[in-house]
Amino acid sequence: MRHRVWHLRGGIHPPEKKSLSLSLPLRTASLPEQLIVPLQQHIGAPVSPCVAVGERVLKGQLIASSDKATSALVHAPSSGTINEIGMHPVIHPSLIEQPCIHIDCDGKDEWIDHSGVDNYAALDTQTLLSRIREAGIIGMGGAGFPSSIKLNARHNQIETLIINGAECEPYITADDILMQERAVEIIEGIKVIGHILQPKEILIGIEDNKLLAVAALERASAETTIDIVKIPTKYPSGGEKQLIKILTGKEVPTGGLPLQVGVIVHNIGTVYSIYKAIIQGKPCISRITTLTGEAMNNRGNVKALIGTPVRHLLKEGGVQESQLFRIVAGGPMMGFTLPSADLPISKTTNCLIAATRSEMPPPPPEQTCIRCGQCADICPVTLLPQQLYFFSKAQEFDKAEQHNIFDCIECGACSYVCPSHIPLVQYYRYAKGTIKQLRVKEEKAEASRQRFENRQARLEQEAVEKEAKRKARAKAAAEKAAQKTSAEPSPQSAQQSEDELARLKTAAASTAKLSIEAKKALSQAEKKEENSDKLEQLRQKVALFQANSDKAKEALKAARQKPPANTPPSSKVGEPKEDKAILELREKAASTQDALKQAKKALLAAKTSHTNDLEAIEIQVNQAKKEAGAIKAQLREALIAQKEIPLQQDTPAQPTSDTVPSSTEASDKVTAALARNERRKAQKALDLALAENKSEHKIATLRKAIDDAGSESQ
Amino acid sequence: MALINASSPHIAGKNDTGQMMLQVLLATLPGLLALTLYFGWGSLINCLIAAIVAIGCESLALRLRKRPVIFFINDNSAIVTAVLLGLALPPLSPWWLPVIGTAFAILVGKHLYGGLGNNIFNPAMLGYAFLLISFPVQMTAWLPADGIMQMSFIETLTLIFNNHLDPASVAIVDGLSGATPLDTLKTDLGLSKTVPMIYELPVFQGFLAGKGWEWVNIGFLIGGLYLVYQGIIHWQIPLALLLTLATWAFLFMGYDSDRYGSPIFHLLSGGTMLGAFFIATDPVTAATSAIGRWIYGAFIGLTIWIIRSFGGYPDAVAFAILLMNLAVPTIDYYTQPRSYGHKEAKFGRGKRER
Ligand code: SF4
Ligand code: SF4
Repeated sequence: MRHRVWHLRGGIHPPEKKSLSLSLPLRTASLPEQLIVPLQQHIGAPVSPCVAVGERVLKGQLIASSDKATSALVHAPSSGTINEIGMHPVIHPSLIEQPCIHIDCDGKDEWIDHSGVDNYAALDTQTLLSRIREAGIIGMGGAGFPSSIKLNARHNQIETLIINGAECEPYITADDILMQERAVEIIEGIKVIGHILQPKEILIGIEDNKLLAVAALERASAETTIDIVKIPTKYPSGGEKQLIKILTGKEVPTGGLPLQVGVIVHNIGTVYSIYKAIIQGKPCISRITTLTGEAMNNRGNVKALIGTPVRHLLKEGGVQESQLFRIVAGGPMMGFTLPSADLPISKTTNCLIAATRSEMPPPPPEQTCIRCGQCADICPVTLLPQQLYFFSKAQEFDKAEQHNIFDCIECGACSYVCPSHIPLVQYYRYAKGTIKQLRVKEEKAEASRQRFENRQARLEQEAVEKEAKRKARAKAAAEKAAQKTSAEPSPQSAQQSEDELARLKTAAASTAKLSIEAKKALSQAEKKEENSDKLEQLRQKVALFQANSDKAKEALKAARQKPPANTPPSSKVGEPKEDKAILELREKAASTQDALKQAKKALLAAKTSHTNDLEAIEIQVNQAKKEAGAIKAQLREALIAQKEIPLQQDTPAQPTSDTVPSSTEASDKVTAALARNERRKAQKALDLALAENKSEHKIATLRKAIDDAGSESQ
Repeated sequence: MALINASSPHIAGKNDTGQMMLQVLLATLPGLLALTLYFGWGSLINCLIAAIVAIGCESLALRLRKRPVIFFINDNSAIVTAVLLGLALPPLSPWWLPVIGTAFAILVGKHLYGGLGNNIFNPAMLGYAFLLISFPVQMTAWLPADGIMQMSFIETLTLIFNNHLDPASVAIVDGLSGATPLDTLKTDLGLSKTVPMIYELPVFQGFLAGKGWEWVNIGFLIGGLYLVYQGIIHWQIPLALLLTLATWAFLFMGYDSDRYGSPIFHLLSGGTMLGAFFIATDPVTAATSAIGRWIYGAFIGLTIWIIRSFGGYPDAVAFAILLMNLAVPTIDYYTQPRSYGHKEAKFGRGKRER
């Protein structure tokens, strides 16, 4: 059965130049004298070294770790002695220095003890995920996102698992050679992932210029349900979103994750690493890198240890230094030039191009845009690149955003076709960067305003609450007194309680209004994709107002349930109240779920835009997850409790005079239970915050919340 | 190792603005050939004069604007503007007509707006409209088809350069000039003749439409299809333009065939094909998105038909295009395409909501 292939709009057909590096089989690069292992090869929380200078390490030994889920562990790629731990320039688009561990190789290449599992199907998902995490595996197609996180999807969430073997960039053949030579292992790795995710279908998307790879995989997958789909060769069909469209016809919503359309995409290299981690028990310490470009004589694909200096690999590829004009890490469309050959390769370095001057000449001077529209014709995202260019150039960033500049995947196809040789992508990067900077500035100003307002609101609310409490106490006392003296209806107390009711009503309404407004502000901010700080603040505000409003409602309800003495008591006092509480919990559960979703979204947005506050956002996601979990648990408890309460009430439910105190008692009990619940929750949140080193302010707020809840439950 | 630092992508396609403009020039050749066969050397001479003036004016403007002259001249856009204007002028127009027209087109139409890419109006058509308003007599002095193929290149050249000075030459030109089919239709309908009667006149004795004009239009059609095939122009604008023009002509011919010309007549007369394939498709001044191009083309077609049928000028390509140039920002505003991952297309200016 042939799987349907959807049409990808736009795209280009640059010269493939893949045959340059396909004439030789896969080989292993020789061991360099020194390995310089970068610690931050992934997107996510940093790791810190767990070895010391002078220590001897074995191949595969853990050398840097972190307990954060979003970090990727780092292992020694070969045995040797730690020579230095310090900053070193690394392969990165913005040419930065990062902490690196330098290992002097001893040439023995001595493995640490390791063992794979024989029957991965017998292991549960969490065990497999933690093994993948412990192996330090990240997306090897270039994104560098920790794979264990990407694989941690909810049960039944994944419709389609896509393995990306498109490799649409010219020159690169690393995945191609891997599929040709390690097809069996790749299929095995896919099975592991399939076991973890349990998708409805598994597709491998391969461009139809890699027929050898297709044949090898078809042979290896004959016994499985894995579908190998040949897709038309076209750049950039291997882009994650593009491949999803081609293979499923679905579009990932803007700013969203593939998960939202039930799809997950893994790269061939990642799959192979997962195979090695699970079946052989080997961490991710090497990768296949294509050595190519016309300034090399001995082009081909090598298995290179992470941390091998580029210079070493260039030698391996027989570079002719006199011919060398630029070194590109990655493909010619999206890769970046290296300032020197002394940088070490990382887990995401899939290709090194040593180009001659004639092969990749300096760009011709930029002419004027004639609005020919060729760029718009080929843009795979259906943007209007010429408009984005005009807006970026004129610094009309509002308009650039309106024209979806943040959906641009920087594939470079528009620059490629532009007859006026305009480096369009460069303009977009500039615009995106500037917009982000401006946002940060705006947010700082906004944040201080928000802090002020929050404080104001809190003070007001506290005053209102105090007043309400005082009234409630006074009233309770009065009622008790009234009950003691006589069961006779007292017009005065009825009048009083009505007044009280009216006041409470107003309070409830006004707090509810505040809460709604805050929610609105939050959702607006979320729509605008504001940064994490601000969102967090708004969320806090929402939570505060929500709590206030809940309290006010609670008070109102309590007052209503204490019937004026002349009203016949109802036997069903407890039930509607409990229902209401459950309803509220449900609402809360829904809203935290929402918050979780939003946080996830923010995380993705941040990821795609390479922001630095990723970590913060990720923490937020986890936090939101936990919160959602807690509320759900509470909801469950409450539901169970609800079943019990009517039973309690059945007995005293007679229209006698002693019903009043007993029903009050029941409602008091419920209030106390609720408050205790509240307190438990607050305690949990505090623990969490402490564990995660939250800011002092937050901890203080949480402590206060616990105290409040505690005093209420008394 | 002297490594260079450059931004991705590191490779570039073969497209080149200068080359594209040359292709456009190449594509005008069939039309120019037909013009020359039926109307003599005049059009070619017009184009040459205009091209020389264009290069001069472009250099001047670039120097005044302190831009690298040679670099920008090499994009060939000035020559394209000049040639398109030259093709639209009457073949025996006096030499100063293309000179003034081109100078106006380049200096005012193009550089006053900030140069190539920033002009709102198609410069060639702006020059043409300027001439038509300023020198209506010279601009409407067309020739009957194959009236002067007997005249040699040198003779034509002399005539063009003496046209305004030497009364004898002026007399010759006057004697030679005649109405175009579109002129004839307009004036004779005004004399309450019917279309079938008018079609009997000698200017209409072509094999599909007006004599000679049909071939000029077919020539530009062939050149235009070549440009579409080469991917240099988008097909939406010419198709929309021609379809709309033909549809309206067809509908009104059905309504009253005594008063309205046939679709074939409209398609193959005057500047229809030149306008549809070479001028309306000028990317700088046309609508940006695919839907936008449909709208833009269709409205030009409609305007051409309306002006031809009810307006004061016999042909309307220039005015129709200039009019729609004005509408382009509005069209672009409403026709932003839907991008990947978005539920629907956005439109508007993009001021942030506060
Ligand atoms: S391809 Fe270049 S010249 Fe053509 S519209 Fe796009 S940016 Fe302008
Ligand atoms: S770089 Fe951006 S604008 Fe250009 S083609 Fe790719 S997605 Fe479209």
